[in-house]
Amino acid sequence: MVRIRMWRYGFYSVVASTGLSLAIMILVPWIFGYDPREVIGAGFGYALLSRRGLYSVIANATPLLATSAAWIVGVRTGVFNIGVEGAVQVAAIAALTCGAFVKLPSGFHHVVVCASALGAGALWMLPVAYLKRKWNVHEVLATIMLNWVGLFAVGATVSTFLRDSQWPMFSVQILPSARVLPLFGGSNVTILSPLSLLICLAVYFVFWHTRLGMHLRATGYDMSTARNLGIRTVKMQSMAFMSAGALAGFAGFVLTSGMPPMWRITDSAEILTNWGYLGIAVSVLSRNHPLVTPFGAFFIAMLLAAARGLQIYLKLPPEITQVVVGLIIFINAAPAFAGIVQKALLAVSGPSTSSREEGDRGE
Amino acid sequence: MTNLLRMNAARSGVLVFIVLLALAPGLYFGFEHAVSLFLIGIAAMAPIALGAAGEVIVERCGMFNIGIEGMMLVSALFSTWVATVSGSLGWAIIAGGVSGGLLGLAFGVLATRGRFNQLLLGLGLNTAAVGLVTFVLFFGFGTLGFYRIPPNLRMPKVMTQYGPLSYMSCLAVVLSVGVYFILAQTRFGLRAKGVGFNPFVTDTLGIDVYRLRTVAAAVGGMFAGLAGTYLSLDWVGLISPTLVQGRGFIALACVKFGGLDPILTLEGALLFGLLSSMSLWMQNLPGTAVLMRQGGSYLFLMLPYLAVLVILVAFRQQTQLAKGIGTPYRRA
Repeated sequence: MVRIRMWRYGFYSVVASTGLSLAIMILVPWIFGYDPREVIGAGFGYALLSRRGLYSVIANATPLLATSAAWIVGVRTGVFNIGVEGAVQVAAIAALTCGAFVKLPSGFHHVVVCASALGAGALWMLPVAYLKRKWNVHEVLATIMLNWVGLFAVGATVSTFLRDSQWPMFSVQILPSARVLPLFGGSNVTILSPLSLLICLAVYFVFWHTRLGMHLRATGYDMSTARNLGIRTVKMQSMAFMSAGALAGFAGFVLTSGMPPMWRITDSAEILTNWGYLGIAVSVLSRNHPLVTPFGAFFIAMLLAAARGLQIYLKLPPEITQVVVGLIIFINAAPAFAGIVQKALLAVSGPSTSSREEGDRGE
Repeated sequence: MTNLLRMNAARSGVLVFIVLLALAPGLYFGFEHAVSLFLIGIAAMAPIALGAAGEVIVERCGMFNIGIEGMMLVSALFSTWVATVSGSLGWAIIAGGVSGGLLGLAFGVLATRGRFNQLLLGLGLNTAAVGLVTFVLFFGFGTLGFYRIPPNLRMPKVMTQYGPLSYMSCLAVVLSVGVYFILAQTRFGLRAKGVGFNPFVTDTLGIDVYRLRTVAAAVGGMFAGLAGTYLSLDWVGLISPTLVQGRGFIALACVKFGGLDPILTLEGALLFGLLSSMSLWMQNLPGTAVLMRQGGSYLFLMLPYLAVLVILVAFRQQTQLAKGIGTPYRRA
């Protein structure tokens, strides 16, 4: 038997999903009468070969890294935290409030705005943890309800105290002292992109190399055994909810302070929606492993940019990405798919390595 | 016996709460207005009740389908397409139900024989459905945002002096009560409960767990399909990617609230429908005019979702009626 390391397993899963979804993305427009060469040129040519497209890929991957890390923290601890979506939105409100109304020197202002977003995200998850702990309310239901509340909260705040008097549908802008400036002229890539990579590494380090992480993973792997071994499982899950909220909060910070040249949101929260659900797709694709997440995030971000290219050059609706993302989740829901990847990996690795096989633990 | 008494007490308690909630606007505006609001509540109840009744069957058999939302949306699209092409409302309703049933069948086969992760299947379906609807609207109907159903293709309603009442709302009530009788009084119901309680024991009795679960998923999908058809061809009168607005998830919340009892689940759906109509009523109160001008409508839109959370806590069920919901069964 061959030992398959989770990160390699996840990496091959990303590669296999990439191939399949690229085929779908070319096949679907082809069915509707588009030339596949045009689709490749307009979509992937734009995303990977143009400077603007590449910037867009990196900028899109940044919040995805944070939201997928948030999902991983939950799922590794045994909770299905779909509330990342709502936490991003509420964190964006907090970041905008602190960024637009609090006057502080630059640098310190950034830290305060980021802390407010992280705090708001974590606090947003507090009722979910409490409801689960105290009254056994299923987190999927509680978080879905809170996602809707979060979405309407954006509308309510942007129409009232965050409203820009000149542009009624827009919120006020973040003050220059709290704006994260682009690294390259004309792009929306900021220092937050490498920072979000570091966050994934930090999640990996905590979960795989600390006692706390071991307790969190043990809770997710087998809650009753973990409880019998003396791990405070309820505390671990509450902590996972709050940490996931804080990570989602970072995505909220990225989408407000770190989103040049807008530095603001709209009342329909267009810029803030779907990041939570896309984060789940990234994590599923990466077999819930933080070291593989950057590949998954880059891939989904590339799909988003390609869809933008298809919209610009071929006038195709960008929602084609959602079909592809949905199908990716489908494919990865199959144990058979995991088996195919495993078999391929075994064939590539050969029988020379060590003897333990790791499955989809914690998923 | 104790469980039955507790269930009856819960049903009666929720019913009393519903009556009080329905009477509240009457004290302020008069009886006619209260009945009118109640009819709006019934209209809002129908899709949730249909989706929830189907999900009760699915969860009784030990599965968990969060893809109701996506099934509703795809069925709404398919029924709209059939209605537009054939010009027949009857065929459109059948198409809606059948498309939901086929999606449910696919879900059932993948979840049982394929042992797919049910949560991810549902999530994938919900995500793909939104993209699919946008795409088909663009290529099939030549529009990007939404397609309005022509008036001649919309379902007829019973016109009362207080407002319209849809036939589909009545059907939702009948089907929910029907599900109750099927689960309580028929062999299928007994077997479904058995599969939900303990698939291993049920399997040893010679009952095909996979087939029963697949049938349950198909029936659940058909109910979701009818809910989607109602939304597009009856209540809202259009098809758009945002048509369902979380009603599939609210149906799931109603199932949890009802503790897998179809009658209590129906009451939960009615409660949510009434709360939705109450939020509309509150938006029209004279005192809220100032608030409404300052974006207060968003606060009222939040209310039903917050109310669901409160209801989930207030009427939580302690009894676990089907063990291991969502866990794939593997024959030894």
